[in-house]
Amino acid sequence: MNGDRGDFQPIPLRDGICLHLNSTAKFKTIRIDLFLHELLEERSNTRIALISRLLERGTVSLPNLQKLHRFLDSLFGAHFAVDIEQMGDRQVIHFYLEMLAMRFGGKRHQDLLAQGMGFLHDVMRDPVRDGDRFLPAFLRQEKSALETNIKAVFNDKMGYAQHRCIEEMCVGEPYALSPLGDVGDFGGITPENLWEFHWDLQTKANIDVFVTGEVGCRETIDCWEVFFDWGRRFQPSPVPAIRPSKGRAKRIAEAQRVGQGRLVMGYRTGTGLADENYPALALFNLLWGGDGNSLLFRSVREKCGLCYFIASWLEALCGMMFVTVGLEEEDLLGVLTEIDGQLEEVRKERFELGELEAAKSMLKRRLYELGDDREGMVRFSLRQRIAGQNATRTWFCRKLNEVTPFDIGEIARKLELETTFFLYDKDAAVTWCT
Amino acid sequence: MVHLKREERDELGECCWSGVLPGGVEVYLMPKEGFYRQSALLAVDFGSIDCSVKVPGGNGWEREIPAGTAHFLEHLMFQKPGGDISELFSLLGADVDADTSFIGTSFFCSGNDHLEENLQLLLKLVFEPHLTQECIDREREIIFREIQLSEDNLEWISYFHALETIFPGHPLSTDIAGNLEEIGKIDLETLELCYRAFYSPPNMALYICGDIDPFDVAGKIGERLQEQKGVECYPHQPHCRTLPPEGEPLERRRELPVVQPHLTLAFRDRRKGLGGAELLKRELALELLLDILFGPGSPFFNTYYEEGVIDPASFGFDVYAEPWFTACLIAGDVRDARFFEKAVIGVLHQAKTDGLLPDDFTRAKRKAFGHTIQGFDQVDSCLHLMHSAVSCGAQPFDFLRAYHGVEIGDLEEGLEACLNPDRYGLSLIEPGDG
Repeated sequence: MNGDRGDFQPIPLRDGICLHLNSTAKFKTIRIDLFLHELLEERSNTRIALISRLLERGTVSLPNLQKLHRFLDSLFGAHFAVDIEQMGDRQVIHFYLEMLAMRFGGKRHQDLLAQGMGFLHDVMRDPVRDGDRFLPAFLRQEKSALETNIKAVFNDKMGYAQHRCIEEMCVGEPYALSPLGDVGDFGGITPENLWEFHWDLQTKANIDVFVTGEVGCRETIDCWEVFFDWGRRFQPSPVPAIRPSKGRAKRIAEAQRVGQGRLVMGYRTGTGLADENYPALALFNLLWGGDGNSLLFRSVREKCGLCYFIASWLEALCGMMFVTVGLEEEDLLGVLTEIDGQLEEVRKERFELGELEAAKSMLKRRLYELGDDREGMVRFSLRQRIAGQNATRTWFCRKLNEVTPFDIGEIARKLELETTFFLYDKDAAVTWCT
Repeated sequence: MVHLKREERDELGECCWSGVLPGGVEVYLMPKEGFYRQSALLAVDFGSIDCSVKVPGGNGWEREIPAGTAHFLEHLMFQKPGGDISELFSLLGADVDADTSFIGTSFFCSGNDHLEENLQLLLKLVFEPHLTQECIDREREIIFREIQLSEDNLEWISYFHALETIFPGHPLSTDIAGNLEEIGKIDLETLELCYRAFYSPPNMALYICGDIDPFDVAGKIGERLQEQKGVECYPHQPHCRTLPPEGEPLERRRELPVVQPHLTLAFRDRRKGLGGAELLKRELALELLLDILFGPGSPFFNTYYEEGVIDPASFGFDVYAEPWFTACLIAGDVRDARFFEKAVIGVLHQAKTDGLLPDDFTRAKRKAFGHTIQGFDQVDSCLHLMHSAVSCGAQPFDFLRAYHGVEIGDLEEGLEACLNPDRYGLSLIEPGDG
């Protein structure tokens, strides 16, 4: 199987912008994903979060939501969003536009790429304004909506526990900052200074554009250059460094009204996405807790019946790994002991070779299938780019084949538990010393 | 040799093959050239609204079954003499999952090779039950925890409360997994009875999608089915599904630890007995109506977004159209629940008085066309669209026929019979201690 079919072809454009193109007739839409990314920093994170919301509100020619969405409807219901995201230490503004491919839309649907690019240009470079500032009313509305968003983290109990664990574990690191920002910064943000910040950001931020669909290379470059041409003084951000463990294991417990306890454990792996042993880390994660049939799932849930939900996931850009569990408060100690016990087993390389082989075939399959999944492929490629890694999927699959049980044991032996966060019901009796 | 019928849609660029396998399982196959992923879904016509079962004996008698039985059985099907069957899928690098809805249970697997072996496992999963007291006791614990976990899920809770306001006392208003009391009543005998009554081949449909040769796949699965050993089922019987008579819709309030009140308005469709392509058209008509009145291109959305009445992250609406019931829900986090309710109901009254604009209808329809085409862009979404159409009694491409057939009068009729401003249920979750 040709794993590289569907990989993006990187094409450097002017002003430090990189175009990533996948020219294919496989899909029924043309998709443009434009990412503007910067290191997370206090205060600017709130500004960037507000800007992303304001850019979704309208352009000079489509100055409100109604006009903007009616334009998108006329393009056969094009999907458009400006989202704020986090990838490792970076805060990312994600502009997303997906339009029905030209072959489905008849004659009036022919200059689609130009219409899409023109629209995205207007969103970024010609947002609805009041002279040299954002519309004060829009800023006021977006501050209020963002505040609601920030507070809504509380409603999702697993998300909240995850957020608190990271906050405690990564004190002083960019990763601990929220991509949604901080309500405390709102006071200092005016329509004028935010406008100025917006233009400054566009000049210096990293920009990557991904285009997938039935479009040609020359056509895409030409189209981009017609719309996007601005003098940027751009300095590429440094590749993220993997931070070592702080040594001390921290325990935090918090009480709330919850139907079930939520446990989050944060580990440092010492391995990043671009490292030689990353394929072994990715396999370890899948084997240990990253899959519905993992060691943790089978032992903690199936064998011991101590929880309903247990999973692990990697933050590969920062070299961290998390285990999340939904459990009864009284089972906490049992769960902690079982998780530690399972880690010890992997450290001693006590697992079936067949399980490792199954993890390899699963991961290879997911890599191949990125060719069907544009969103997944775009994210995979952007993460690689941020990490300074430019390996193809075929290379990655080859590396996976070479991973031995010893390599998996090495990953487990390097893993350091740094923070354990437990959210429990306020009426439950919890005996756990923090 | 399985006889297959072909249906092709040029405007979509897809074709679908269908036939009946030995034993009476319906099969639908959609080839997707160039895709890596190959997925299959086996649907059993047994859902959470099936609260009684017809068992042969004398003239046939009906027996009540506890809420949550379909979901309980779905969980247990994974247990086989050698352990959890997921492990066998995993060894093939495949994923397996299952889901129970109001009207059915579906078992789903995907991989990018070994399709034949995966399909064999899928048949083993569904046709070789291994129901033991030990498995039942352990699974009951796991389901207890699953139910507890969803008690912290605001949207899940308000969804069922809203359905309760329009279908009071009906299984539609109970969690699909049941509740703690009902789960306690499920025993080995009930499960065996339900298996034999519902898991019979004529009560099933199989959907397969990916880069496949439909004749080859259907032929092989047909042979396997003939060899497949299984439990002898009762002769196929029609379901006994009923809805409570229409009464005055209710109001339901509850306190939960959330930051903002969450309001859901529920509308029950008074038009009954729709099925097949007519039902898909009804669903589309209601979707278009909601999009015109409350979608992002509507004056309602624009005005109330700017006034901070609706929160874009949580505001939304949905149409649930099944052969047994059709309902619309409009929901969101709100500051002032009464104000929000009045605003929504005001829009419905105005639409009834003034009628709909042909331009709005054309725009919403154009958008729906784009989204229908896009729905067939991924292997898994094709699979679910085929399943969704067939479980409504329609054919996979009837979504497009619904699009071509819908008229503005269908929307106006929907406004009268379903989205009627004088008849709606209301569920409100308020911040508090629960």
